[in-house]
Amino acid sequence: MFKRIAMAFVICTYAMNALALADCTLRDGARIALYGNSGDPDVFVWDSKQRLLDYSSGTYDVDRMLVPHALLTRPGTRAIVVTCVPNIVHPKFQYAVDDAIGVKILSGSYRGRYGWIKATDMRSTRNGR
Amino acid sequence: MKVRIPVFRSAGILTATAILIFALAIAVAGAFLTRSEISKSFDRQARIQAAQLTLEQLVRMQIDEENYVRGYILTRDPFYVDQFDASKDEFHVREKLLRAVLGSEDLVQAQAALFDYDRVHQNWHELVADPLMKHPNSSSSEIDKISKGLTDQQTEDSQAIQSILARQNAVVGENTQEQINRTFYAGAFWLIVFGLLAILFNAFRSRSNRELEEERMTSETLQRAFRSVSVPLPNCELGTGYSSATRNVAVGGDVFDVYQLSDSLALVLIADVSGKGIDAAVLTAFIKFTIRGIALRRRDPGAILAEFNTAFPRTVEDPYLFVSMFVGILDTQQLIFRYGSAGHDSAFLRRGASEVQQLAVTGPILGVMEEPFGTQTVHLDPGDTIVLATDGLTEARNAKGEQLEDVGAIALIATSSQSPQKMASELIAAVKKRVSNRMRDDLAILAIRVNAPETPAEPPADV
Repeated sequence: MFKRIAMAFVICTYAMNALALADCTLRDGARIALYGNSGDPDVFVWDSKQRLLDYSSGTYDVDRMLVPHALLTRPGTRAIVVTCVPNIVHPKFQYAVDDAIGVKILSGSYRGRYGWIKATDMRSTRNGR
Repeated sequence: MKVRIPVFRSAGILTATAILIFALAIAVAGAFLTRSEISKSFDRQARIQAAQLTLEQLVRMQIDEENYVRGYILTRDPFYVDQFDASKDEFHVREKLLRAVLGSEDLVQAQAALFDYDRVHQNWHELVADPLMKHPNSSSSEIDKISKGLTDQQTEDSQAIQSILARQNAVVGENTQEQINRTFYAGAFWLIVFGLLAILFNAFRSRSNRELEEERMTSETLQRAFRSVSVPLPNCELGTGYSSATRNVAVGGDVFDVYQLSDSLALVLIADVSGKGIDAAVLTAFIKFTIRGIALRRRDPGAILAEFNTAFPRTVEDPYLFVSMFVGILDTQQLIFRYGSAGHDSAFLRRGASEVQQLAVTGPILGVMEEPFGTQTVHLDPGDTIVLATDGLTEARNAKGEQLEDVGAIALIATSSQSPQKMASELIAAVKKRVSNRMRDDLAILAIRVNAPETPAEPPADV
């Protein structure tokens, strides 16, 4: 019985977490951790929203765009939400849309820098809301 | 006489059988065609699913290659170099397999994505992997960025291919399901069609058989009534036998008769009518009683045949009916046998124990033309046997299709028992054995054995 309740609690927590990632549900000032996915957890932080959109929609100009305008942050890098634009990122070959989130980096070698990430490239921390 | 299934019945049964066979052929051909189509659909699905697996393997190999590079940078262990090189070759093999499937399915967008995937993979090798493997110390955040950027591109491409393959697999799966449904509906349809056809066929056949059986019963009853019972003749022993053709065909018009005209004279008759069923049975009655009537007035067999030949076409309107007939007048006191044969050649005389001779034909078949009919006279000795049969005897065919013919009939008669009844039974049994009990022709046998007169013979007075 206890196991079932625990499992339900875990499922609810994940569900709420997933809900929090959609449609700018995080308020400004919320604390987050940057994390891509289990296969590639590093996260690009872009210096402009438009470059984030271009990159996500399939524009991969390594020399002129990626190298000079993106920061590569390690998984778990702390950040704080500065702003959010809902449902603006259209990944190439996918029907789903994503939010663009403006963040300020709080840890790591790029601490203090500002930039833009996709909502799927972060996890909210316990006191993030 | 030969008997056949009526034409309209056999045509009906043949038509119904042909329809059934045709419907069956269509159903079987359709089933094979559908099976082939479904098999192709399953093959396609299997190929697409294999391609999905190959794509996942490619993605995994890309991750492995990245890990080999990282491992080498950290440890400088040449093991990672070997693994990295082996993985490169394997990657190209699988990429070709995937490309072949995408080409065969004509998935243009997926082919373009795979082309891009391959191009990005090569870029990754040139810009990231190869420089790092050559100079492991040159690792920098710039190379890391480029590596991640290229990996992101490959992820996008692989997701695109995966999505197209999944969609294609779903489409083919739906088609397969539709084909299976169609097969089910077609099977149900043909089952109903076969069921209905079988019911109709059975009803038609039952009705046909019932009618045939009723007609046959009527005919047999008539024939049995018209056929002579064994009439005791002075100084004579009689034997008779009759066997009709198979039960599923109409009975024919074989008839024989022995009729005592006076104390010493007897009419002996056997005939074969070219008809069947009730008409033929009725005709046998006509023949029997007409010949009796004529024989009461005329004692010359040739004259009897001639008079009947005149009356026959006037009575029977069917111009296609013919009769072969043997008429004899037997003097049981003088042992003289006078006969006329209208095309009836199955008549024999056994002299004593085994010598058999054929009694010659004395005129044409009745009902064809008006011709004179001759009369032959034979002087009998005690112990001689007159054996009259219909053509079911001489035309009995063995398994090879060979007829018994006159020679065979003579041989059979020569070796038969002395007793006329035994002889008739033996001849019937021999014919049945020859045709393996599948008689296509009625057979009538009449055997008369003359014995020595009890009183001294006197010159013939009635002849």
